[in-house]
Amino acid sequence: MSGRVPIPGSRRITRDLRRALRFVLAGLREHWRSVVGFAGLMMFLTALLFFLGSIGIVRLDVMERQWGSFGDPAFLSLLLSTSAYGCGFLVAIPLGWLRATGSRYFHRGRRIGVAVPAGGRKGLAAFAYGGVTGFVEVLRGTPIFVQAFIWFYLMIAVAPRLWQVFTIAGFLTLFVNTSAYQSEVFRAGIQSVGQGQVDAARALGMKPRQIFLSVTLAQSLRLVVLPLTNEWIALFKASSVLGYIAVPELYSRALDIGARFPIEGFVMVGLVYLAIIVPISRVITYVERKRRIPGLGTPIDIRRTRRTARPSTAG
Amino acid sequence: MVRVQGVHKAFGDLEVPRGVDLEISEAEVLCLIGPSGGGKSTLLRCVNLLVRPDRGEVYLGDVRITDPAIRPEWVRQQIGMVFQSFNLITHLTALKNVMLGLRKVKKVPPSEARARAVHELERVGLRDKLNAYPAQLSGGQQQRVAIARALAMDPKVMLFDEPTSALDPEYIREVLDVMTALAKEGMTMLVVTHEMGFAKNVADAVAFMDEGQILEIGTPEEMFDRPKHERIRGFVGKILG
Repeated sequence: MSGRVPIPGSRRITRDLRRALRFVLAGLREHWRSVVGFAGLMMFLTALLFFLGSIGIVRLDVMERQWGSFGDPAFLSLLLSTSAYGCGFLVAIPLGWLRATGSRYFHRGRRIGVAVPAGGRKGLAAFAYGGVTGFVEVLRGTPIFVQAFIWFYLMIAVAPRLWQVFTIAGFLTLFVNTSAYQSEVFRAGIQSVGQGQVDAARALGMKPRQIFLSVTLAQSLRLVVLPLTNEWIALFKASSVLGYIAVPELYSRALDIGARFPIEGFVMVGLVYLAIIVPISRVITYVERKRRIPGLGTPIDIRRTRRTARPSTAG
Repeated sequence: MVRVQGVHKAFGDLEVPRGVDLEISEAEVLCLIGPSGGGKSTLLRCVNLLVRPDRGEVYLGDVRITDPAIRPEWVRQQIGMVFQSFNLITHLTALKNVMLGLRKVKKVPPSEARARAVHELERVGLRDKLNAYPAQLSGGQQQRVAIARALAMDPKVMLFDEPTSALDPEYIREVLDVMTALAKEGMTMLVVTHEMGFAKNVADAVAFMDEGQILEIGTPEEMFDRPKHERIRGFVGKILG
């Protein structure tokens, strides 16, 4: 330990880790009752599992033997959903922007008599708006299960000899689906940046592209962190349907094991999903809370409530 | 410095302003008063082309800025504007708000922009709030940041759109003080306001606007003490109590 040379940045990482640990400990001190309740439930479920094992309903030895076989499928699931998510993210920003600027949002100013640029979109942009809206409706309005099978049979019909054709169909399923969902997240994010801020940026002499990048998009990216985390979790769970189109991902293990040991297989796969999702969502929630900008996306402005609460002392 | 000629702007059936003429010379402070919905804000927005007039012309110095060949960004860069609801960029600190225009529009290098922004915030008395986010500031402080943001661009004219109307009474003074100091330094200012005290003491001219037209324009003494129109007497009387 003592002879280790500190690598650059390592001190900062240990400081961050220490800070996170302090956060957890403080949380434990404050919420120990809830922690005990949570641990109690976990212990009860574990005990139940062992009880079911002891009376022969669940084969614990099968579960023990099968754990190792979840590694590669878990990796494939993570890889597929995360890469599809990343590609979908890039596509979703322009799609969300088209949806946001083409909707009534831009007309709204007119009704209240405030000057707003270009009421709605015209020409090509109007077609694009309709097209994107249709795309979003179709993908959100049909089960991902159905979409997966369509991609599956489409790919088989078009390119049956393609390398890893099922996995590619699986990737396309997730990628196209998440593009639609994420574009709606971005639409909401972009629309929630007030017209006032845009006006202020215009009044400074900024160009529309600059305003979009450094005001609207910069702000909505912060606003959508949590909804986008939810979308990643939803996508990761939804990737389980790919097990049905012959992609050897996580859920397909449950199907394989489940052929002989259904309870064991599904309990195990559920635990693996949990073990991946819970830490990731906890870490992102923690980071978002620590990095949150006051007044941005927080529903209650603490200072304002305090101010209205003390008119008796003022003046 | 700014000349407005026969400006019309319609929103649907509502036409405000309806043919407004106005002139502000250099270092002059002109206050626009009048009832809500009279077209004051829209007229202000026509001056920096946030709203493009349907008819009429606006000149900045000798330049006809309503000329379609002139880029509105170029016009706005030279005209500062302060809004009723501050309109600070929520995700940026006070310092970054003031630096925004310098960095993006004037392309000033970061260190220089920072120094200028600090200087402007110092001028409005917010040296100790550089790294505060808008939500951490009082209304009066936010509005002063907004003024600093506009001043950092070295504007030739400043437009104020009811800068104190959204403020709690205890914060109005600090904003008016900054504006008064600015007027004394010789800034050309066009101010839409309901602060009659400010109009009386600081303005060189006061214009009364209603139903999209300027009813009367004169010195503060003329407008407050012996206005020609009964409408104005009534309005001023109501506001002054």
